[in-house]
Amino acid sequence: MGKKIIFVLLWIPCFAFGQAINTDERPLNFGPSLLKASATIAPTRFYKIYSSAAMLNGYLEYVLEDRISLRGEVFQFMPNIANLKFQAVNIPRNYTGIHAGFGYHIGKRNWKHSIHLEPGVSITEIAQDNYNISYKWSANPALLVKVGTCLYVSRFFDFFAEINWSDSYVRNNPATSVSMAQVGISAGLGFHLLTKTKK
Amino acid sequence: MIRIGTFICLLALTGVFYAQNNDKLNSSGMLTIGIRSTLSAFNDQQNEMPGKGIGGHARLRLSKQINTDWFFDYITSDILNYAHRTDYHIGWSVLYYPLSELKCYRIQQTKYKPLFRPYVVAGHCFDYSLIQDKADINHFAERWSSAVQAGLGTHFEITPRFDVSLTAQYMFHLGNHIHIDYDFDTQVLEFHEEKGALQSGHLLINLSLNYKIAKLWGRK
Repeated sequence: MGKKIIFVLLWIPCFAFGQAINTDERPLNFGPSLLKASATIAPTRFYKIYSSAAMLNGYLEYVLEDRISLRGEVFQFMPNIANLKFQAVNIPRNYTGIHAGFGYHIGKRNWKHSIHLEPGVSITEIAQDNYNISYKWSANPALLVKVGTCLYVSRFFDFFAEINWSDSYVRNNPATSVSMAQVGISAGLGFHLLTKTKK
Repeated sequence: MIRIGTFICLLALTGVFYAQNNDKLNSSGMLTIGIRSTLSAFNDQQNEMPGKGIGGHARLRLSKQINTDWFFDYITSDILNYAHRTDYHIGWSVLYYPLSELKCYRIQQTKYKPLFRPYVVAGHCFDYSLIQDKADINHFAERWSSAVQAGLGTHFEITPRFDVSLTAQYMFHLGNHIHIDYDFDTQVLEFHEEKGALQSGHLLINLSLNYKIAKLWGRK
Protein backbone atom coordinates (compact mmCIF):
# COMPACT_ATOMS: atom_id res chain seq x y z
CA MET A 1 0.00 0.00 0.00
CA GLY A 2 2.80 2.34 1.00
CA LYS A 3 4.64 1.67 -2.24
CA LYS A 4 1.51 2.49 -4.22
CA ILE A 5 1.14 5.82 -2.43
CA ILE A 6 4.79 6.67 -3.07
CA PHE A 7 4.37 5.65 -6.71
CA VAL A 8 1.34 7.93 -7.07
CA LEU A 9 3.05 10.82 -5.29
CA LEU A 10 6.08 10.52 -7.54
CA TRP A 11 3.94 10.56 -10.66
CA ILE A 12 1.69 13.51 -9.70
CA PRO A 13 4.35 16.14 -10.47
CA CYS A 14 5.05 14.51 -13.78
CA PHE A 15 1.40 14.83 -14.76
CA ALA A 16 1.23 18.33 -13.35
CA PHE A 17 4.23 19.54 -15.33
CA GLY A 18 3.41 17.35 -18.25
CA GLN A 19 0.41 19.46 -19.29
CA ALA A 20 1.28 20.13 -22.88
CA ILE A 21 1.55 23.87 -23.27
CA ASN A 22 2.41 25.14 -26.65
CA THR A 23 4.90 27.91 -25.89
CA ASP A 24 3.64 29.94 -28.81
CA GLU A 25 0.15 30.08 -27.33
CA ARG A 26 1.25 31.48 -23.98
CA PRO A 27 0.71 35.22 -23.70
CA LEU A 28 3.80 37.30 -24.32
CA ASN A 29 4.22 39.74 -21.46
CA PHE A 30 7.48 41.35 -22.60
CA GLY A 31 8.00 43.38 -25.73
CA PRO A 32 8.48 46.83 -27.21
CA SER A 33 6.38 49.55 -25.53
CA LEU A 34 6.45 47.78 -22.17
CA LEU A 35 6.51 50.28 -19.33
CA LYS A 36 7.69 48.87 -16.02
CA ALA A 37 8.33 50.20 -12.56
CA SER A 38 9.02 49.06 -9.05
CA ALA A 39 10.44 50.09 -5.70
CA THR A 40 12.30 47.92 -3.27
CA ILE A 41 14.81 47.88 -0.46
CA ALA A 42 18.32 47.13 -1.68
CA PRO A 43 20.83 45.86 0.88
CA THR A 44 24.07 47.55 -0.13
CA ARG A 45 27.71 47.24 0.82
CA PHE A 46 29.98 50.29 0.53
CA TYR A 47 32.99 48.03 0.21
CA LYS A 48 35.70 50.69 0.21
CA ILE A 49 34.55 52.25 3.46
CA TYR A 50 33.68 48.92 5.05
CA SER A 51 30.07 49.89 5.71
CA SER A 52 26.70 48.41 4.93
CA ALA A 53 23.43 50.16 4.42
CA ALA A 54 19.94 49.80 3.04
CA MET A 55 18.88 51.74 -0.03
CA LEU A 56 15.41 52.53 -1.19
CA ASN A 57 15.64 51.68 -4.90
CA GLY A 58 13.00 52.70 -7.42
CA TYR A 59 13.04 52.57 -11.21
CA LEU A 60 11.03 53.35 -14.29
CA GLU A 61 11.85 51.55 -17.52
CA TYR A 62 10.53 51.61 -21.06
CA VAL A 63 11.29 48.88 -23.57
CA LEU A 64 12.18 50.51 -26.89
CA GLU A 65 12.92 47.38 -28.90
CA ASP A 66 12.93 43.62 -28.31
CA ARG A 67 16.32 43.85 -26.65
CA ILE A 68 16.80 47.51 -25.75
CA SER A 69 15.25 49.51 -22.94
CA LEU A 70 15.62 52.98 -21.51
CA ARG A 71 15.72 53.17 -17.74
CA GLY A 72 15.96 55.72 -14.96
CA GLU A 73 16.39 54.93 -11.32
CA VAL A 74 17.00 56.32 -7.89
CA PHE A 75 18.83 54.96 -4.85
CA GLN A 76 18.06 56.70 -1.58
CA PHE A 77 20.27 55.96 1.41
CA MET A 78 18.34 55.02 4.55
CA PRO A 79 20.73 56.20 7.26
CA ASN A 80 18.98 54.58 10.18
CA ILE A 81 19.46 51.14 8.70
CA ALA A 82 23.21 51.15 8.37
CA ASN A 83 26.35 49.76 9.86
CA LEU A 84 28.85 52.55 9.37
CA LYS A 85 32.40 51.97 10.46
CA PHE A 86 34.41 55.14 10.20
CA GLN A 87 34.30 58.65 11.52
CA ALA A 88 31.99 61.27 10.11
CA VAL A 89 34.34 62.63 7.43
CA ASN A 90 34.61 59.22 5.85
CA ILE A 91 30.96 58.33 5.40
CA PRO A 92 27.98 60.24 4.05
CA ARG A 93 25.09 61.37 6.18
CA ASN A 94 22.89 61.43 3.10
CA TYR A 95 23.26 59.71 -0.24
CA THR A 96 21.03 59.77 -3.30
CA GLY A 97 22.02 58.13 -6.55
CA ILE A 98 20.19 59.24 -9.71
CA HIS A 99 20.93 57.28 -12.86
CA ALA A 100 19.69 56.98 -16.43
CA GLY A 101 20.81 54.67 -19.17
CA PHE A 102 20.03 51.75 -21.40
CA GLY A 103 19.53 48.03 -20.86
CA TYR A 104 20.11 45.03 -23.08
CA HIS A 105 17.77 42.03 -22.66
CA ILE A 106 18.17 38.43 -23.70
CA GLY A 107 16.28 35.27 -22.83
CA LYS A 108 13.08 33.41 -23.47
CA ARG A 109 9.62 34.85 -24.04
CA ASN A 110 8.70 35.83 -20.50
CA TRP A 111 11.98 35.24 -18.72
CA LYS A 112 14.55 37.87 -19.55
CA HIS A 113 18.09 38.48 -18.35
CA SER A 114 19.49 41.96 -18.69
CA ILE A 115 22.52 44.15 -18.29
CA HIS A 116 22.17 47.88 -17.71
CA LEU A 117 24.72 50.65 -17.99
CA GLU A 118 23.56 53.85 -16.33
CA PRO A 119 25.70 56.95 -15.85
CA GLY A 120 24.41 59.39 -13.27
CA VAL A 121 25.20 61.46 -10.23
CA SER A 122 25.47 60.67 -6.56
CA ILE A 123 24.30 63.51 -4.35
CA THR A 124 25.95 63.20 -0.98
CA GLU A 125 26.12 65.09 2.26
CA ILE A 126 29.32 64.53 4.17
CA ALA A 127 30.84 66.03 7.33
CA GLN A 128 33.65 68.55 7.09
CA ASP A 129 34.99 67.73 10.56
CA ASN A 130 34.90 64.90 13.06
CA TYR A 131 32.63 66.78 15.43
CA ASN A 132 29.59 66.75 13.09
CA ILE A 133 29.46 70.55 13.17
CA SER A 134 29.33 71.31 9.47
CA TYR A 135 28.18 69.25 6.52
CA LYS A 136 28.43 69.88 2.81
CA TRP A 137 26.49 68.60 -0.16
CA SER A 138 28.10 67.58 -3.43
CA ALA A 139 26.98 66.12 -6.76
CA ASN A 140 29.46 63.57 -8.01
CA PRO A 141 29.65 61.81 -11.38
CA ALA A 142 28.70 58.17 -10.97
CA LEU A 143 28.36 55.03 -13.02
CA LEU A 144 25.92 52.20 -12.30
CA VAL A 145 26.19 48.73 -13.83
CA LYS A 146 23.53 46.18 -13.07
CA VAL A 147 22.88 42.62 -14.09
CA GLY A 148 19.53 41.05 -13.47
CA THR A 149 16.85 38.58 -14.33
CA CYS A 150 13.11 39.11 -14.56
CA LEU A 151 10.20 36.71 -14.87
CA TYR A 152 7.13 38.31 -16.42
CA VAL A 153 4.49 36.13 -14.82
CA SER A 154 1.37 37.94 -16.00
CA ARG A 155 0.17 40.94 -17.98
CA PHE A 156 0.87 43.28 -15.08
CA PHE A 157 3.31 41.63 -12.68
CA ASP A 158 6.88 40.43 -12.75
CA PHE A 159 9.47 39.15 -10.32
CA PHE A 160 12.94 40.59 -10.62
CA ALA A 161 16.35 40.17 -9.01
CA GLU A 162 19.34 42.38 -9.79
CA ILE A 163 22.90 42.93 -8.65
CA ASN A 164 23.92 46.60 -8.63
CA TRP A 165 27.44 47.97 -8.74
CA SER A 166 28.16 51.68 -8.76
CA ASP A 167 31.05 53.99 -8.08
CA SER A 168 31.54 57.70 -7.47
CA TYR A 169 33.86 59.89 -5.43
CA VAL A 170 32.97 62.55 -2.89
CA ARG A 171 35.74 65.09 -3.43
CA ASN A 172 34.72 68.07 -1.35
CA ASN A 173 35.63 66.68 2.04
CA PRO A 174 38.76 67.87 3.85
CA ALA A 175 40.41 64.46 3.94
CA THR A 176 41.16 62.23 0.98
CA SER A 177 38.23 61.83 -1.38
CA VAL A 178 35.80 59.16 -0.29
CA SER A 179 34.79 56.37 -2.63
CA MET A 180 31.09 55.52 -2.73
CA ALA A 181 31.82 52.22 -4.51
CA GLN A 182 29.04 49.84 -3.63
CA VAL A 183 27.50 46.49 -4.44
CA GLY A 184 23.88 45.78 -3.68
CA ILE A 185 20.97 43.51 -4.43
CA SER A 186 17.52 44.57 -5.51
CA ALA A 187 14.72 42.06 -5.77
CA GLY A 188 10.99 41.97 -5.55
CA LEU A 189 7.71 42.37 -7.33
CA GLY A 190 7.54 44.70 -10.31
CA PHE A 191 4.65 46.16 -12.23
CA HIS A 192 4.45 46.51 -15.99
CA LEU A 193 2.09 47.39 -18.75
CA LEU A 194 2.28 47.05 -22.53
CA THR A 195 1.41 50.56 -23.62
CA LYS A 196 0.82 49.67 -27.26
CA THR A 197 -1.18 46.67 -28.41
CA LYS A 198 -0.17 44.69 -31.47
CA LYS A 199 -2.54 45.07 -34.40
CA MET B 1 51.64 53.46 -38.64
CA ILE B 2 51.47 49.78 -39.55
CA ARG B 3 49.58 49.13 -36.33
CA ILE B 4 47.03 51.82 -37.13
CA GLY B 5 46.60 50.37 -40.62
CA THR B 6 46.12 46.88 -39.21
CA PHE B 7 43.57 48.24 -36.72
CA ILE B 8 41.55 49.95 -39.46
CA CYS B 9 41.69 46.82 -41.64
CA LEU B 10 40.45 44.71 -38.76
CA LEU B 11 37.56 47.08 -38.16
CA ALA B 12 36.71 47.02 -41.85
CA LEU B 13 36.77 43.23 -41.89
CA THR B 14 34.48 43.18 -38.88
CA GLY B 15 32.12 45.27 -40.95
CA VAL B 16 32.30 42.81 -43.84
CA PHE B 17 31.27 39.94 -41.63
CA TYR B 18 28.58 41.86 -39.76
CA ALA B 19 26.85 43.76 -42.46
CA GLN B 20 23.19 44.73 -42.56
CA ASN B 21 20.76 47.15 -44.03
CA ASN B 22 20.76 50.34 -42.04
CA ASP B 23 21.42 52.80 -44.82
CA LYS B 24 18.44 54.95 -43.98
CA LEU B 25 19.24 55.18 -40.29
CA ASN B 26 22.77 56.27 -41.10
CA SER B 27 22.01 59.05 -43.49
CA SER B 28 21.44 62.78 -43.36
CA GLY B 29 18.87 64.08 -40.85
CA MET B 30 19.13 61.35 -38.22
CA LEU B 31 19.00 62.64 -34.65
CA THR B 32 20.57 60.54 -31.90
CA ILE B 33 20.61 61.15 -28.18
CA GLY B 34 23.12 59.61 -25.83
CA ILE B 35 24.40 59.55 -22.31
CA ARG B 36 28.05 59.08 -21.57
CA SER B 37 30.61 58.34 -18.92
CA THR B 38 34.02 59.97 -19.17
CA LEU B 39 37.49 59.19 -17.93
CA SER B 40 39.92 62.10 -17.92
CA ALA B 41 43.54 60.97 -17.87
CA PHE B 42 47.01 62.49 -18.23
CA ASN B 43 45.79 65.75 -16.75
CA ASP B 44 48.03 68.78 -16.87
CA GLN B 45 48.30 69.46 -13.14
CA GLN B 46 51.14 67.91 -11.25
CA ASN B 47 49.83 65.11 -8.98
CA GLU B 48 46.40 65.18 -10.58
CA MET B 49 44.67 61.82 -10.57
CA PRO B 50 42.41 60.53 -13.37
CA GLY B 51 39.02 62.20 -13.26
CA LYS B 52 35.59 60.68 -13.72
CA GLY B 53 32.66 62.36 -15.33
CA ILE B 54 29.24 62.11 -16.84
CA GLY B 55 27.62 63.86 -19.70
CA GLY B 56 25.15 63.76 -22.49
CA HIS B 57 25.05 64.54 -26.15
CA ALA B 58 22.86 64.87 -29.20
CA ARG B 59 24.13 63.77 -32.60
CA LEU B 60 22.80 65.19 -35.82
CA ARG B 61 23.87 63.41 -38.98
CA LEU B 62 24.67 65.60 -41.96
CA SER B 63 25.53 62.88 -44.45
CA LYS B 64 26.61 59.24 -44.57
CA GLN B 65 30.17 60.27 -43.84
CA ILE B 66 29.61 63.22 -41.51
CA ASN B 67 27.95 63.36 -38.12
CA THR B 68 27.92 66.17 -35.58
CA ASP B 69 28.03 65.75 -31.82
CA TRP B 70 26.74 68.42 -29.39
CA PHE B 71 27.83 67.55 -25.88
CA PHE B 72 28.03 68.48 -22.22
CA ASP B 73 30.43 66.91 -19.69
CA TYR B 74 30.85 67.25 -15.93
CA ILE B 75 34.16 65.86 -14.65
CA THR B 76 35.74 65.81 -11.20
CA SER B 77 39.25 64.77 -10.20
CA ASP B 78 41.62 64.86 -7.26
CA ILE B 79 44.96 66.61 -7.08
CA LEU B 80 46.55 64.20 -4.65
CA ASN B 81 44.89 64.89 -1.30
CA TYR B 82 45.31 68.67 -1.14
CA ALA B 83 42.96 69.93 -3.87
CA HIS B 84 40.23 68.83 -6.20
CA ARG B 85 39.22 69.99 -9.64
CA THR B 86 35.86 70.29 -11.39
CA ASP B 87 35.53 70.73 -15.15
CA TYR B 88 32.46 71.57 -17.21
CA HIS B 89 32.69 71.16 -20.99
CA ILE B 90 30.07 72.28 -23.47
CA GLY B 91 30.86 72.00 -27.14
CA TRP B 92 30.56 70.26 -30.45
CA SER B 93 32.50 67.83 -32.58
CA VAL B 94 32.43 66.56 -36.12
CA LEU B 95 32.59 62.82 -36.67
CA TYR B 96 33.96 61.58 -39.98
CA TYR B 97 33.34 57.96 -41.01
CA PRO B 98 36.20 57.09 -43.37
CA LEU B 99 34.89 53.59 -44.13
CA SER B 100 31.24 54.44 -44.66
CA GLU B 101 31.43 53.93 -48.40
CA LEU B 102 32.62 50.36 -48.08
CA LYS B 103 30.27 47.80 -49.57
CA CYS B 104 29.88 46.06 -46.25
CA TYR B 105 27.92 49.01 -44.84
CA ARG B 106 25.39 48.86 -47.66
CA ILE B 107 24.71 45.15 -48.00
CA GLN B 108 21.09 44.23 -47.33
CA GLN B 109 20.45 41.18 -45.23
CA THR B 110 17.26 39.90 -43.72
CA LYS B 111 18.65 39.51 -40.21
CA TYR B 112 20.47 42.35 -38.51
CA LYS B 113 23.93 41.68 -37.20
CA PRO B 114 25.93 44.07 -35.00
CA LEU B 115 28.68 46.06 -36.64
CA PHE B 116 31.54 48.43 -35.84
CA ARG B 117 31.65 51.86 -37.43
CA PRO B 118 34.96 53.66 -36.77
CA TYR B 119 35.30 57.42 -36.97
CA VAL B 120 37.70 60.30 -36.64
CA VAL B 121 36.49 63.07 -34.34
CA ALA B 122 37.52 66.71 -33.98
CA GLY B 123 35.83 69.73 -32.49
CA HIS B 124 35.72 72.67 -30.18
CA CYS B 125 34.33 73.39 -26.73
CA PHE B 126 34.01 76.00 -24.04
CA ASP B 127 35.06 74.97 -20.60
CA TYR B 128 35.01 76.12 -17.02
CA SER B 129 37.55 74.74 -14.54
CA LEU B 130 37.43 75.16 -10.79
CA ILE B 131 40.27 74.08 -8.51
CA GLN B 132 39.60 74.12 -4.77
CA ASP B 133 41.80 73.66 -1.76
CA LYS B 134 40.58 70.59 0.13
CA ALA B 135 41.33 72.12 3.50
CA ASP B 136 39.40 75.29 2.68
CA ILE B 137 37.04 75.19 -0.28
CA ASN B 138 36.70 78.98 -0.17
CA HIS B 139 40.32 79.09 -1.32
CA PHE B 140 40.04 78.38 -5.04
CA ALA B 141 41.01 79.38 -8.56
CA GLU B 142 38.78 79.29 -11.61
CA ARG B 143 39.17 79.66 -15.33
CA TRP B 144 36.90 80.11 -18.32
CA SER B 145 38.51 79.01 -21.54
CA SER B 146 38.07 77.53 -24.92
CA ALA B 147 39.47 74.23 -26.12
CA VAL B 148 39.93 72.07 -29.18
CA GLN B 149 39.81 68.31 -29.21
CA ALA B 150 40.54 65.52 -31.67
CA GLY B 151 40.72 61.75 -31.60
CA LEU B 152 39.43 58.40 -32.77
CA GLY B 153 36.43 56.30 -31.90
CA THR B 154 34.03 53.63 -33.00
CA HIS B 155 30.33 52.91 -32.71
CA PHE B 156 29.34 49.37 -31.93
CA GLU B 157 25.90 49.25 -33.50
CA ILE B 158 24.09 46.57 -31.54
CA THR B 159 20.73 47.15 -33.19
CA PRO B 160 19.86 49.42 -36.14
CA ARG B 161 18.96 52.21 -33.72
CA PHE B 162 21.09 51.53 -30.64
CA ASP B 163 24.86 51.77 -30.38
CA VAL B 164 27.60 51.85 -27.80
CA SER B 165 30.44 54.21 -28.70
CA LEU B 166 33.98 54.41 -27.42
CA THR B 167 35.99 57.55 -28.14
CA ALA B 168 39.48 58.64 -27.15
CA GLN B 169 40.39 62.26 -27.80
CA TYR B 170 42.94 64.74 -26.59
CA MET B 171 41.69 68.14 -25.52
CA PHE B 172 43.97 71.21 -25.70
CA HIS B 173 42.91 74.17 -23.57
CA LEU B 174 43.50 77.44 -25.37
CA GLY B 175 43.17 79.90 -22.48
CA ASN B 176 45.24 80.73 -19.47
CA HIS B 177 46.62 77.98 -17.31
CA ILE B 178 46.17 77.66 -13.54
CA HIS B 179 49.32 76.35 -11.99
CA ILE B 180 49.32 74.95 -8.45
CA ASP B 181 52.17 75.02 -5.96
CA TYR B 182 51.81 72.96 -2.83
CA ASP B 183 54.33 72.93 -0.04
CA PHE B 184 54.16 69.55 1.70
CA ASP B 185 56.06 70.85 4.75
CA THR B 186 53.90 73.87 5.47
CA GLN B 187 50.78 72.49 3.73
CA VAL B 188 50.24 75.79 1.98
CA LEU B 189 48.55 75.78 -1.41
CA GLU B 190 49.08 78.59 -3.92
CA PHE B 191 47.43 79.25 -7.26
CA HIS B 192 49.25 80.98 -10.13
CA GLU B 193 47.72 82.00 -13.42
CA GLU B 194 49.97 81.60 -16.46
CA LYS B 195 49.09 83.28 -19.73
CA GLY B 196 49.43 81.59 -23.08
CA ALA B 197 47.72 79.05 -25.26
CA LEU B 198 48.04 75.26 -25.49
CA GLN B 199 49.66 75.03 -22.08
CA SER B 200 47.39 72.37 -20.76
CA GLY B 201 45.25 69.49 -21.86
CA HIS B 202 43.98 66.04 -21.05
CA LEU B 203 43.00 62.76 -22.65
CA LEU B 204 39.26 62.11 -22.58
CA ILE B 205 37.90 58.61 -23.00
CA ASN B 206 34.13 58.49 -23.45
CA LEU B 207 31.89 55.47 -23.31
CA SER B 208 28.45 56.40 -24.52
CA LEU B 209 25.09 54.73 -25.07
CA ASN B 210 23.12 56.16 -27.97
CA TYR B 211 19.70 55.78 -29.49
CA LYS B 212 18.49 57.12 -32.82
CA ILE B 213 15.24 58.86 -32.02
CA ALA B 214 14.13 60.78 -35.08
CA LYS B 215 14.75 61.45 -38.72
CA LEU B 216 14.47 65.21 -38.97
CA TRP B 217 14.62 65.34 -42.76
CA GLY B 218 15.01 62.98 -45.71
CA ARG B 219 12.40 60.47 -44.56
CA LYS B 220 11.43 59.41 -48.08
